Amino acid sequence: MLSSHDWNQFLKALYETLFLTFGTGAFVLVIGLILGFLIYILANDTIIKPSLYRTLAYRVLSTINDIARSIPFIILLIMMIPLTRALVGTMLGAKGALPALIVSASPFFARVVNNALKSVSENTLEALKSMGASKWTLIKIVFKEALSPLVSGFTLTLVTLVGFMSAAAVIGAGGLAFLAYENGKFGNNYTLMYLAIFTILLLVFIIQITGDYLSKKLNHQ
Amino acid sequence: MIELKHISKSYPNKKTTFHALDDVNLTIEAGEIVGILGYSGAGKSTLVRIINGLIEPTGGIVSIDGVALDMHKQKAIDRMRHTIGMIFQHFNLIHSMTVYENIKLPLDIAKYPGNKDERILELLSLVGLSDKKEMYPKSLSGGERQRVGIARALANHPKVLLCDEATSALDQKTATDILDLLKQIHEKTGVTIIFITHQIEVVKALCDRVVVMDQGRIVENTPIKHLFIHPTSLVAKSLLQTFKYETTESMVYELVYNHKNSDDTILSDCIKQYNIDVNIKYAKTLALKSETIGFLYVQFFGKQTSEAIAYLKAHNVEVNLYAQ
Repeated sequence: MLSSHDWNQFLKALYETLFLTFGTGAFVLVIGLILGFLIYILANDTIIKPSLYRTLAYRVLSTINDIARSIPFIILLIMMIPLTRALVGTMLGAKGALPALIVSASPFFARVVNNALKSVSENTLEALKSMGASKWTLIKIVFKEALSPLVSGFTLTLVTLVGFMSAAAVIGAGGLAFLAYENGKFGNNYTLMYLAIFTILLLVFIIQITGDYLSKKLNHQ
Repeated sequence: MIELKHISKSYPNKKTTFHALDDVNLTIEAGEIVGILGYSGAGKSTLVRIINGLIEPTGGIVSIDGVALDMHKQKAIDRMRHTIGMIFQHFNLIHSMTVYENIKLPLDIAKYPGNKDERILELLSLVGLSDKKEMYPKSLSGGERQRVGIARALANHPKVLLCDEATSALDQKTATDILDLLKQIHEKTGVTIIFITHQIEVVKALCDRVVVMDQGRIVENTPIKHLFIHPTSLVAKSLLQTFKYETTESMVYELVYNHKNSDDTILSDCIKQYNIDVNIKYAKTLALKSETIGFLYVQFFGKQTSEAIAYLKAHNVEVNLYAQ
């Protein structure tokens, strides 16, 4: 069935996929949270008083975010080839896919964060203000209140990342999808192809089930 | 003591300016229970939010214990808010926090100097929720949620409690329980209570004084008893409609008995003395917070009717010609 060389290839690809998913995930988590919070704060009268500058800053940030989010991943990947080469030195392998994945998924997650934060009721903010809460306390509690949708939003982002990686495989980004693509396209090892595909599916299920469980546990609405 | 002087609040639109509040003057003494009554859109919610600085007035001065609020000093406003508790129509609890944590929050915010745990347990027992402290708001009933809201609002020993339609989302029985709790808290702590509502039953059960609002103005500011006997504003009259005795008959008089003379046999004495007949059409009592008023709707027959009426008036019974 599978030779030890195949297994080595599979394990290497699995490692790359896990590295890419969770490595990119960590970057996306931080960047998306910061961007999502910024957009939220700039659109909310509670933290910063309304002014022309605030509206302007909101429009700029929100528009850039939406543009970045709406570029199809495969196009972005190609657009970013020169930048990627300059940053990590190569287009190939897991490292080569990292920048494009981060640039593509961060604005997506930022929008998810923004929506989760917006789901916290204005009434809750008013109650906090009536207690004399500081801005920092307000932000902390908005975060706490939005934790459940934030977790399910991050789950969605991770699953999307796995999908993006399959697209990156086409230009040689490595990982399980690349392994499946190579072995399927040249028709030499269908067993390895199906193993790779099945493992991707398993990964998606594990992410989804864990995310759903955590989100449900955090949901007190 | 809270003083509002010439308070106005307007929201400029493209074409017209909407005046939410228009030259409102109001003084609220420490320890009072004041009801602010009016239909929705009358400006009640805006008014109460101006008191704790949630809304900045377009004009006028708010002062609390003689100190004017400066909307530009956020620290001072935050400190002032620690002394003013607020409860809401939809409770506005933090869903991701337990009952205990919800009550702890204002203590943390105000850096409560005493033992927080002790204070929280004390508040829980005050509102009757000692056994629910580890529960999340979603598993509580509406009445229980408002009790948490009350405990949270009272945490830092506030001088004033603002209530924004605090019973409007509750059923009658639960609303009555909440009002009883507020009365009990007022007796214990002497906290000033400002209660916004569109329900006249609420002010009837709770308040010493009523401020009636209409279209951003105060149209009536009167002790609760007077509102029920002599409403002057259109809004008050309309809100009192449900309590009104409706009749198609003529020459019906309304006799109003105050608590003091309700035990005397005034009408009976009057009938004997002036040899008149009295046809009682309808009678009712209104239980206010601290007294009960009796209303009697009667027709008089006999030659000495006007003397009889004078006798009643002389004995502190108010006589009004109700239907001509």
